[in-house]
Amino acid sequence: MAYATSAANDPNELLDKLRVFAHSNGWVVDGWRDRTVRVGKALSVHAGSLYATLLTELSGGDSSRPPPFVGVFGHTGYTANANADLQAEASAPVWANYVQGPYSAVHFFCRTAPQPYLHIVLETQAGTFKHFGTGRLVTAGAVSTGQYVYGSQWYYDPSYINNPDDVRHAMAFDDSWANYVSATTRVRADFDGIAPRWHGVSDTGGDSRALYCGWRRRGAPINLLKDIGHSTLTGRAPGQPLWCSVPRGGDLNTDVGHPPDLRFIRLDSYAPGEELVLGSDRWKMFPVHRKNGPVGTPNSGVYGYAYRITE
Amino acid sequence: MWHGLWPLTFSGQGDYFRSPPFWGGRPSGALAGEPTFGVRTVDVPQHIGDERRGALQPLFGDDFFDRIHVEPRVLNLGNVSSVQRRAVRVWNAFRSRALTLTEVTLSGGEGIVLTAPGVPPLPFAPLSERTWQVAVGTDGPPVIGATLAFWFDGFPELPVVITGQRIVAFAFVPDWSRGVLERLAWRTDILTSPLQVEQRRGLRSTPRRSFEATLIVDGRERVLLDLAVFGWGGRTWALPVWPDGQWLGTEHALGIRVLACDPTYRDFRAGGLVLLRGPSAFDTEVAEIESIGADRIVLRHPTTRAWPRGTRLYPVRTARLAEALRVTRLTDQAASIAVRFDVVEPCDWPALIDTPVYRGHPVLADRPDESESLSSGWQRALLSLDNEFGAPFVLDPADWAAVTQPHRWRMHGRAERARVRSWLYALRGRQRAVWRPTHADDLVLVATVAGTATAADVANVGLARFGGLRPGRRDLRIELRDGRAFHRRITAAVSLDEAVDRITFNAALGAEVRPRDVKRISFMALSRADSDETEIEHHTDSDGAADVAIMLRAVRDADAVKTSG
Repeated sequence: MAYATSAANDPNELLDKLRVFAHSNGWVVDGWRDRTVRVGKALSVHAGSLYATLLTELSGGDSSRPPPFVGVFGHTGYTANANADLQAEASAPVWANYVQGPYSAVHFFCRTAPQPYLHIVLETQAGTFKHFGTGRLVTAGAVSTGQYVYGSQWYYDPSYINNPDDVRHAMAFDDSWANYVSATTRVRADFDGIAPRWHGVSDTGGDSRALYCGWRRRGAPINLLKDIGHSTLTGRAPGQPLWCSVPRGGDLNTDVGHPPDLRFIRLDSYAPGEELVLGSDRWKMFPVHRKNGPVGTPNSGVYGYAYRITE
Repeated sequence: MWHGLWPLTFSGQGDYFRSPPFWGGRPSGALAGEPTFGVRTVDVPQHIGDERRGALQPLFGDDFFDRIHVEPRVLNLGNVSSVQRRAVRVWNAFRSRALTLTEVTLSGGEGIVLTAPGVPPLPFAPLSERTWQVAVGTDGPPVIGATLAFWFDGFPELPVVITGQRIVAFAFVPDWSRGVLERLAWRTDILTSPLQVEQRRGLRSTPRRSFEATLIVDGRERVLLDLAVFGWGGRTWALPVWPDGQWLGTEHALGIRVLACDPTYRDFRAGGLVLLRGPSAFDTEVAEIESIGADRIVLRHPTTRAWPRGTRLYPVRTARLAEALRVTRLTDQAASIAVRFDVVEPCDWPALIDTPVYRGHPVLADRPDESESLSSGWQRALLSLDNEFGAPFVLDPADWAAVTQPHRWRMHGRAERARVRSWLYALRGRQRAVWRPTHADDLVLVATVAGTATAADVANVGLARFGGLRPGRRDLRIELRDGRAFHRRITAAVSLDEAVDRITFNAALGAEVRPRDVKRISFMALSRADSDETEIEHHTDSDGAADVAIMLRAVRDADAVKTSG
């Protein structure tokens, strides 16, 4: 079973349930410890050569980026340090903010082959969703690792909370982002003899370690179908792979791939959490943050992610 | 790059556009521009195509293509009371791979007829689609649970689950000389304290509903009824809601989906069933409702026969025979049959919308039907201790009498019936409390009350002496002749003299009220029904008259502080 839905009261219980889920689905649990740097827990897992550590952080942030946080960073190998945040060739962590419990529901998606991934969707309140996870891209071209980590940070300032397209919201696999905190999507793309080479979505031009994968800026290698609604005939909408590319210098970009079993989708005719059946595939769809909604509440419009259920 | 392609354009071997002819005295197609209509052949020379470099980027099409789509995967037919036809489409969405359908199996398919587009092994060209027609008839097991499975070479089974249940229409019409009795039965769990304060818990979300009627059947219909009950008696029937019947006013041809009728205040519901009945019980059709308009019903599937003017149209509820039929043989041709059906599906009814609300509970402002005298009563919870040789010791712990009073409705027409049914659903058997005015002339105003005044002088009836401002005798409904009504609580009462009491309201009336404006001032008691069962006597169908009687009993529920006029 590579999909499970459950419930949890707080971020630490969430990680504990994730540990059980990942372990029962072929991931190896390396460590499950308290963090020494900040108050929280750290869960280190690996599948094949893909290592990641998932973290909770219960304090910090500010009113626009409230705690608690759950995050993840990727690394190679596992060292039982005293400090769970220190691992070899590690990326900077990416975070999902304001993941306060108890959650209405949590959804776990994972697989170990052909590409390992661990995707988590949190329904923090009915209709409000958070996304984070890690995995390896379905790579294009000569990219040696392709590990990705992502989180989702909604910006809770009342002026922007219900503005789905504002760049202050830093969302998974989207490079339209400017909230001056940290990148929410990072991809390891080793080439030209440089390793580790982690690319993160960037808010500054000319960044040689930038990652391009936007659905709001539609700067992905091929424009996303963000503005294409559903079919008026069938009510269905196409799901779009979230393509990632990295700069190679001289204004050239290289595709590095897209996350497996994850799509960008418009939810015009779908309800949050609804399942879409395509032949033998089942896709479960969640809003980026919250589908539409009244003024004053978070609103990510009709944009959403579709996760494939592989059972 | 263009200098490399340029010679090919004229070489005769590498032109991209073959049509229209590119040479022969006329300008070349390439030079004259691309053709704007008709078939166009694009032929990319192999040695140019080979120059392409790059990675194939799968887009959304990869989620749709290169797999087999079977739609729908679940066929939930609901209540099958006539032949249901559905299509199952199988699409080979492989863009460049032909498949072979090796087998189609239908398991548990008794009474299901499958119309296939061909006999397996059936080749499916790339991107080709075929449609299987599934027809589910009324003959067969009562519960439909079938699986239609498609087997493609090299693929696992692709199943389509077919579910539903078969029902048969009970198309006999009642003998209206004795009317139709409809019974609504809620269930309430009541815990009562010694002080008569109650906790009431509704155990059913919707009432159980049953119908009783007498039928007179003769000739072929009598035998049909006998055989139908013999063969289907223990199963579910499509029972027409007899009082809600109507005649179709226009001709309806075969295969239409829109029935022109008046669905207002009748028991139609989207997703439910309707029964069309011709002159006899042999001429019937049951159809499923898709949507209901103001003057029409849209069916989910076209009708299977033509229905002329005068056809009876009934809403349908699924029901089971509650007991064996009681048959009275009239002649060897005719019989009088008493039937009782229990409805097996939950029946909802719209809530009350325009009723006044006082202190959080609706006010039963409808005047009762007084064609039979209404008799009130007082229920006291007395505890008595009697040792059989002295005077018995009697205690009244609540020091309060629960006033009981019947309320009877006589309804004319569908709107009144619908309203009373909403009241019954609002009461939910014994669960919910409403304000019941006595509908009697309890207090008489003797002086004009100013709009800002909170006191009024009324004729002395002993209110200050006996009423004690206790529940049941402290809330007033003041009805004026112009139709307005005020609901107020008496907060104090003093006797001015032997003729006049002065009462104080919790709030001013807001309008000047003269004694001659007042139609009636009645006490109100917060009351609930005294029984969970209510019977509606339908004397005629819903355009005519019907009767309902309930007994209301006062309760000591806490009422909300908020007041409204």
